[in-house]
Amino acid sequence: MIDQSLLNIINKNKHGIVIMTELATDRYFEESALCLRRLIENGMQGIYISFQRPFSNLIPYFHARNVDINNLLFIDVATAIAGDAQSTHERVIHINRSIDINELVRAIYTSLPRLKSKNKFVFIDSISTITLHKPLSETLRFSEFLIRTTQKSEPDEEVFLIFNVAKGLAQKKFIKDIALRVHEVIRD
Amino acid sequence: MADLQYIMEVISRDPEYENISSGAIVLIESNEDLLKSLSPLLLRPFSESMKVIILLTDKGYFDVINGYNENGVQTNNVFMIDCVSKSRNLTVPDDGHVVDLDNVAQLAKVFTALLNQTEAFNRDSMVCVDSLNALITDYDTENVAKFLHILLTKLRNKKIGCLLLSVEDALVEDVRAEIVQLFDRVIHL
Repeated sequence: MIDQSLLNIINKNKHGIVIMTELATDRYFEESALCLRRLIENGMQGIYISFQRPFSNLIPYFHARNVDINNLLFIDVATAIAGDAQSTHERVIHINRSIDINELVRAIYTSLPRLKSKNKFVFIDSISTITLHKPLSETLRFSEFLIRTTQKSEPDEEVFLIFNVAKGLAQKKFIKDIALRVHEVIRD
Repeated sequence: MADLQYIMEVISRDPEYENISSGAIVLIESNEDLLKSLSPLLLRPFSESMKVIILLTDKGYFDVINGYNENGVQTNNVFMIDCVSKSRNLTVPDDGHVVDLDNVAQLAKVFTALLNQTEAFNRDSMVCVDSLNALITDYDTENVAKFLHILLTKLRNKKIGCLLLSVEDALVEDVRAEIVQLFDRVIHL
């Protein structure tokens, strides 16, 4: 199972690394939620960057699958893109509707100290979905910024950066480019 | 027909299909003939209890209305956005249950028409896209994926469910992957 493979790789690395997981296209969200639950059960806390779905939709789904949202902070990019009102829930970090990449990275970076566990993660639900709304160059810049930011973690913390992508998109050039920059690629 | 009933029994037992009425987003993939026969049966249970907004992309009002009536779809609860009839010079009835758009390629108009109807019916409604393939054929795939992403996000924020029908193996792998990852459930028939 992909969640177990992810956990094995994290437990093998004392220092935070960058991981790409290729999830089964037809069970994408199911597998993504499994990975998330596994990380939290492993004592980690993280920031969930939701490009695919709005926060309002994630919550009941995560509750039903025992994903403890008290160990997560959310950046609801999907709702911002759709131009809908963002949740005022305490675990949601507000962002502007313009989805500026610099602002997004800053929001992630400044929110990391809110997580109290030593091992933290930044979980990108789908790196390809952002390319529907932002130029490819911006998506690559986002991933590059994020890789650099998370690798410069504080001395008392380790940050694991996890990019998720649908298996059916793994052969796209920009996904291959990102895959070259990560430490590990996990396939379903 | 017995086969269709058996298939419907199987689909009806799928929890996510049932959850469309409370906001689930489901894709059904199958061959063209089966989808054509099955679409009224798939809509019937929802039409009994809620408003059903149907986006018709590859067949028009006159292609579907008989099938709906014969298969017990409560057409008084159905609202159709017909992207086909106008291009065939067919005039749809002016009864408040159907609006005809020039053609499916006017994606912005389709989007507005769908959202206006969900605003009008609010949570007691679901959306059906019949079918996804014509959208892809008539429009740039990235724009269709973008259209669907924003539409599904808005539906999710409103807790409105959606059923999309698609012909199996008709989409290029990466286009399919970009779209399919957005769904709660994919059912292959």
